[in-house]
Amino acid sequence: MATPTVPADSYSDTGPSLADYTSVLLQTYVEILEKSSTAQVLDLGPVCEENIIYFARRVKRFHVCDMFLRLNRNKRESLPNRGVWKHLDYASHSFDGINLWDFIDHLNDDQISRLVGLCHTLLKPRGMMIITSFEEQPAPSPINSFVIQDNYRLSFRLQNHLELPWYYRSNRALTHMLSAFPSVKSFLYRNGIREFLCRRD
Amino acid sequence: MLKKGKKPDDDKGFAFDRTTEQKTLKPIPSPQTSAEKTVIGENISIEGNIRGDEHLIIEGSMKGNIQMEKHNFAVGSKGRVEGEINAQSVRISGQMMGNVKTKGKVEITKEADFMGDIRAKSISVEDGAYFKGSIELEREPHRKTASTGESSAIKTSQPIHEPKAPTNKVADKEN
Repeated sequence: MATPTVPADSYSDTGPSLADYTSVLLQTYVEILEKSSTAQVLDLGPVCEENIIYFARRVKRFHVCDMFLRLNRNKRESLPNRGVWKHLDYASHSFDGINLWDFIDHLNDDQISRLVGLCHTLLKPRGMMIITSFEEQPAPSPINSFVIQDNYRLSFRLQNHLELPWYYRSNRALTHMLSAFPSVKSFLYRNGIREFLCRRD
Repeated sequence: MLKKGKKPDDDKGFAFDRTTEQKTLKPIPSPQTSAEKTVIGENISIEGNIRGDEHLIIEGSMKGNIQMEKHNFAVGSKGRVEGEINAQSVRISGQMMGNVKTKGKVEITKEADFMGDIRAKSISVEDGAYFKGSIELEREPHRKTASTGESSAIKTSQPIHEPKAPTNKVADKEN
């Protein structure tokens, strides 16, 4: 798929960096989830203690399926990634929210299509998916977890044990890939991080 | 191999289910004043349920449920456990498949390979732990989420689709 490039300079004052930032979309996302006493949320990793505690104290049940480690294991053992999706073997309409912290940057187009389709199936009607993505590959480009701090602030923690490929996509390409979702809110931060909040119909 | 260690004074001993007792281990009488824990060594395999009144560490392999509500349970880095756990607190460093219920804390270290559901008061998870499952902790009471962070976020961000017109609102995709 063609991925038209949008000049990063149009949107950000500085290049991509790992500066902390306060997430408007995380606030929106969490406030909606907190209104439900039965909310269930799925996080696809990387495993992060702070985020687990944060969500587990706010929703009925917080699920973790660390896909980063699974992809990393496949890469290390030169295994195809086809089978990696079997780990997302949850029932349809299971979740009110799905967290994708920088996950899509490490998937090719086919894998993203598969993932978006799966997430659409796993979400309940009106369920949401929060996605973060780097506008450019940060240099150096190790994988970091997005660590939730107070007041919807996100910081980064290096995940040295993970090594996955990185793919750039323009904003237009990303929103096109999320077209299964009728509502997509998006934000770009000064540190070059893009956030998307998708909602199922 | 069983190794005996320190045990709190209020511990009363150790009891296995009959099946387990017959197959592998003899109950070890312990004076009420002694302090100890039991370690199932890495060359030991157990199939059956365990009910215990002292701390237990599994370094070998274990298939069965573990019931020790007033004592701590751990899966050592070489341990492999498949079963349901009900203990005072739980530490997982090895392979574990099954649900964990505790009134205390669950610790998952970076060496862990854990699949299961957790119900606990608190949890710690090290980066790098292999984890698939769910966590249910005591929920915080519902909060009004008026955050002081909102204003600073708005100052440092802008909608992707409206780069030239910074606004406090997020941009909805047009379909």
